[in-house]
Amino acid sequence: MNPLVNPGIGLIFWFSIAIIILIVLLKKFAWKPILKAIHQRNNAIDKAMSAAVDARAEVDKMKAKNEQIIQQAKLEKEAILKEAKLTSEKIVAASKDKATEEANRILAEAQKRITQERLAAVQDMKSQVAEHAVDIAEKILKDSMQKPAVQDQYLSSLMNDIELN
Amino acid sequence: MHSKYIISFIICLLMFTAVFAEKHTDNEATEGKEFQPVDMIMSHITDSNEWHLWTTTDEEGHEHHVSIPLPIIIWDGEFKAFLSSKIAHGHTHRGYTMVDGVLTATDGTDKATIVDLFSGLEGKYVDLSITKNTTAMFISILLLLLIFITMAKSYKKNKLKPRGIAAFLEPIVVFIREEVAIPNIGENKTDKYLPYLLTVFFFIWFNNLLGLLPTFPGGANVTGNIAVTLVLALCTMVIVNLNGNKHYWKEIFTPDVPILMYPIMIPVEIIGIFTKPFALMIRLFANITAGHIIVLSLIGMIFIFKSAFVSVGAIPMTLFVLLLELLVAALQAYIFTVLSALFIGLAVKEHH
Repeated sequence: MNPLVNPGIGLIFWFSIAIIILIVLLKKFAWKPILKAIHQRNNAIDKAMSAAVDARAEVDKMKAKNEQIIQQAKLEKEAILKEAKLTSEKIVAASKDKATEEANRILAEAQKRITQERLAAVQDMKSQVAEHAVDIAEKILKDSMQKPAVQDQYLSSLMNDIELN
Repeated sequence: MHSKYIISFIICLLMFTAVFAEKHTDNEATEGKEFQPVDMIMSHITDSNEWHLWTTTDEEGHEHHVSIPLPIIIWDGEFKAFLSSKIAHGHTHRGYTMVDGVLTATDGTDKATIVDLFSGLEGKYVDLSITKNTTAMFISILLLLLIFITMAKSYKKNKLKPRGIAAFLEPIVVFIREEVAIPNIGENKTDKYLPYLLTVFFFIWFNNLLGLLPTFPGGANVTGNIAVTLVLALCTMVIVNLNGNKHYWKEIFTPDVPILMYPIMIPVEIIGIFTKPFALMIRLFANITAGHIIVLSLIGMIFIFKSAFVSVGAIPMTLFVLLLELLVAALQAYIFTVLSALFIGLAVKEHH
């Protein structure tokens, strides 16, 4: 047989033993630790990746939340400003009303006082006029009574009155 | 660090060579000896009982061969073990000698072949020598153990990123797992067969590459030797048939065809059990051996034409074929692994 296609018994014998030993040794000391290390590393990478994705989602969520908060704050600010404006307007309007009222009240009071004063003055004048009239009448009476004719006449008139009564 | 170990390992091997290599003087004169390309090629691609390194010719025309002697182990009724240097170049020792580097009995008894193991060993001797291919195979196994155990250890230090040899080999290991094993065998059962597939892939690949080296510690045609591919194919066959599930055996003995077809189909299926690994064996052996033959033929052209000018064409062609062989080295390792994974997958995969 051509030596090329005639498998040698010696080589078959030695190689059969050697390949089994090689498989066993490599399996125990090489493939198992290598595959385990690769597997562990892959797991670690997967874990880190998913953690990164989670963190990213968290960040996105927080960003959205922040945006929302900012939006809300903006709205709130606008509302507050609006309210403040309204309040100030109200206050201004209220104070205006109050001032007008006060002014009116003062005016009315003043008018009332003026009327009272005037009345008092008129009263005073009246009483003074009466006094003067009495005085004048006294004086006239005094003058006219000094005369005996007049006294008699007067007395007689008085008498007449009594008689008549 | 790791590459330093590997380099020092190879240097040690080379020193071993220098110490044990012995010079032999061939008394035949080279003059008048015609260059025999077939003999040259055959001696390169077949096994031998010594590891020939180089030949020099002195002024008188005598050839001096420098080879590494290898252990000869024979069983012919009794065990005989001695170094091949004792029977080199016409010397005879305990009834044996070497012809063109191959052990031969002086009394004309035949070496037992694989067929004789079954038909009887009478009048034949069993050659269990540590041949050139056996030695090269042992060297490659030491190299594989050294490289992959170093790689496994490097993971203890570098947990996050592979470094050194691991950075180079890890993608290949992952490729075998994810592109070869898992698609064929399925995720659940991959772990059981992956050590075998990885070992076979790297064994074939490393030996293909070592075979491309011109001399020691490479140069032996290990994966192009039919005994080696036979054992590798047998490994796949044993794994497939030991782990074959109900469905696998059902496909063989009660295939999904009309009963009238059974007399044809069942023998075909049974033959299939053997042809699949047989194809594995022949494919690897033929591809690697063919590559070596082409390289040697192209180089041989220079000697056939006895002209250095032929090298202008032959050397670039050889270079091209060698580059192609680099590709084939990985490709054949891949094909053997893929087909092994496929056959294992067919036998063990769950069918619903």
